[in-house]
Amino acid sequence: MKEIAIASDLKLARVAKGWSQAETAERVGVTRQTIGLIEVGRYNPTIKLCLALARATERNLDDLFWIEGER
Amino acid sequence: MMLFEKLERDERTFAAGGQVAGIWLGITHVLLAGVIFYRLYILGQPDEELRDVQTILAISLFGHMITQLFLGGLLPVPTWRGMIVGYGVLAGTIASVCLAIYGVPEAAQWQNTWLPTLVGPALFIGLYRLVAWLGRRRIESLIGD
Repeated sequence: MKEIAIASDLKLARVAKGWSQAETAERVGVTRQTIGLIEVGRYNPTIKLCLALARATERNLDDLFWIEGER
Repeated sequence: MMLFEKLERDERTFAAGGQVAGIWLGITHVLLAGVIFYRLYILGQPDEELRDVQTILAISLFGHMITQLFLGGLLPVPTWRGMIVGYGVLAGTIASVCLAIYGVPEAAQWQNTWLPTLVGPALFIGLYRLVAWLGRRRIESLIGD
């Protein structure tokens, strides 16, 4: 089964909030590197982290994350 | 005075750390087994001199396998056919290597030669299947099926 890659609008969402990667990371309890890797599509976050980011950025989960290639 | 930056851990670093640990554990197991084989069968050192290393390898190997199986779904559960094939490959490999090194053993020495060669793999595969089955049963009970 082909591995699913997660794409995201995280960078736009956090910039809209005026947050840096480090600020975003601190708000959801992960490292800055993890936020950076999510933004460049090099890390697939868990659903728990996805929900935390959606809540923090006040975006819908479906608007913030999707399967790569489906949008 | 801080000597290092604060080490931050999150789901990604824990996952990466787990993968790295698993890879290097596997490499360590292979290297230890290679050292034991080399010292026993190439250098001809007595078995007693390697008991400590063999014990550590056995504890690490079985502890790792049993923990992974019991936590559930982390290692494949063999089918009956898989167990028979696995037994054949394992026993056949051990027998072939021993025959190549020591030749055909004397019939009177069957307890030290054929018995461990035929029974050992059976015990190993049987234990693997049992722990895998127990681990799967544990996961199914958590799901509530």
